[in-house]
Amino acid sequence: MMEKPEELKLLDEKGYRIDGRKKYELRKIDMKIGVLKNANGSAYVEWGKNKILAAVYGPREIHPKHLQRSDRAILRVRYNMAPFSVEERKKPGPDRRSVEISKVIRGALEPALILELFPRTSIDVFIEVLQADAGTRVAGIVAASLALADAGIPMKDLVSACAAGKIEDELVLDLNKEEDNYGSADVPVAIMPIKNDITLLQMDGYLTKEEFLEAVKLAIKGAKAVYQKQREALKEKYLNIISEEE
Amino acid sequence: MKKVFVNSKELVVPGTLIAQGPYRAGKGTFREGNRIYSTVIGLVEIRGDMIRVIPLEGPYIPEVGDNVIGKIVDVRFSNWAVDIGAPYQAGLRIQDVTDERIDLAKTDLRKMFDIGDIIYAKVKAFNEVNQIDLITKGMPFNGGPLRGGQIVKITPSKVPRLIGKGGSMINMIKKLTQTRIIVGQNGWVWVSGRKKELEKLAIEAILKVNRESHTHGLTDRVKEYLIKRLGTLKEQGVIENIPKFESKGGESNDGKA
Repeated sequence: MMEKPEELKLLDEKGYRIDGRKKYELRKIDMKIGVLKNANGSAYVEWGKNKILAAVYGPREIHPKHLQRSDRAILRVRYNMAPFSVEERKKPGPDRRSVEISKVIRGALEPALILELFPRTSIDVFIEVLQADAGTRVAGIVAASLALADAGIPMKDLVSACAAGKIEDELVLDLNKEEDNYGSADVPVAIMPIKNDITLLQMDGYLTKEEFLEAVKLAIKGAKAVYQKQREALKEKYLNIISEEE
Repeated sequence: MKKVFVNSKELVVPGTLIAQGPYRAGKGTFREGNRIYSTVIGLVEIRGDMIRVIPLEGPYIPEVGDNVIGKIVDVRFSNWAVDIGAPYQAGLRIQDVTDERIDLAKTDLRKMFDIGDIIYAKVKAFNEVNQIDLITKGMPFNGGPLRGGQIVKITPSKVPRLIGKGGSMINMIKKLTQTRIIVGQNGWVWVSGRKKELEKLAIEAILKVNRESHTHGLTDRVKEYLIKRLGTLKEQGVIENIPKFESKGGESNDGKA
């Protein structure tokens, strides 16, 4: 959280945010499935100003052998930010932050996958952030879960995610970059909507216990809206072919 | 409380509620309490009390008896390693290639199959530890190697559609494009034509089937497409005449063989 410039108002008198959204409104989300030819599954997600590409390879045999699990597949996730994805050039390669995000995204996706079906193999997920504008980890989870479905990897549910946060003493849904930088809290949440399982829950900033519970509820609501969009986007790929050809 | 929430052949995505009650959860589904959900993107199939989802994407899972096309990736002392597009590498042993007694010290196995060769083999065994054994003995032309031609890869679950009812689809493509085609159950298809243009056309048709496998009236559309393209090839003087192909009725109703 950075020091907020004096003149910046994140919420105006009418309750509108700096990008014109209301408090509980999501940014515009666009999803495309199967965008990469050589990956087993892929997806491209534009979430506000975030642009994220996810690719899935596998299940495939892995070497060295000691990495193999004899009873299930292992899931490997790499979250990476392109050097040009942020205003100030980011030094390429993994850093403390992206290693952590890779780890928590793996944890968020793993419960959805039925890994026992492919013992001794690995499923590799690559998440490339081409443009970042806050909430890249939730957008990355959304993209990765679409790419996994596109790869035909059996899963119990799609994983959906969304963030909530606090700006100007008010809880809001889906923070953008300014709100994330100058707001007082950010709570990303990933869920598997069928059973209402939470697979990722983090918090950055300060919230009271009541505010925190409220923020989680809000983020889950947002994630459920995203979930519907994910399902439609997946179906769209095939329904488009039907309407084009029949 | 017996209830089905989707229609047969409906497109579902992972986590779609399909049915509730005493149904059996087949491939592509899982049971959670009393309810059955899909685990893959695909088309629902309900037969009696068995519920399955035919996947539209996904890796090849070998089954004993499948005829597959593979590529030799390694030649070892008495066996070959073969890539068949499954999550695991397959093995082909010398005794599954020939009945002759081979003196391994004197014979160079690369004379039989070398790295990069394309073979046509049968899945002999697929066991609990995911070891895949192949056999080429008794296969057409003793399994190959297949010379010339090209390999096209399609989604394994779409192979029945490419073959069509009683081979209707594949025979039509073969006849109209005058190419030799071998379809492996693993989704690898070997295509070889006398003319480059016809080979390319056959590949286009195969990829069209792969892309549009979930649509209706596909056989007719592929036929229409092939005849149109053959017409232009005739104008360009690549071929002299368009081969005649009469389908034997009931083609528009092409199901999954």
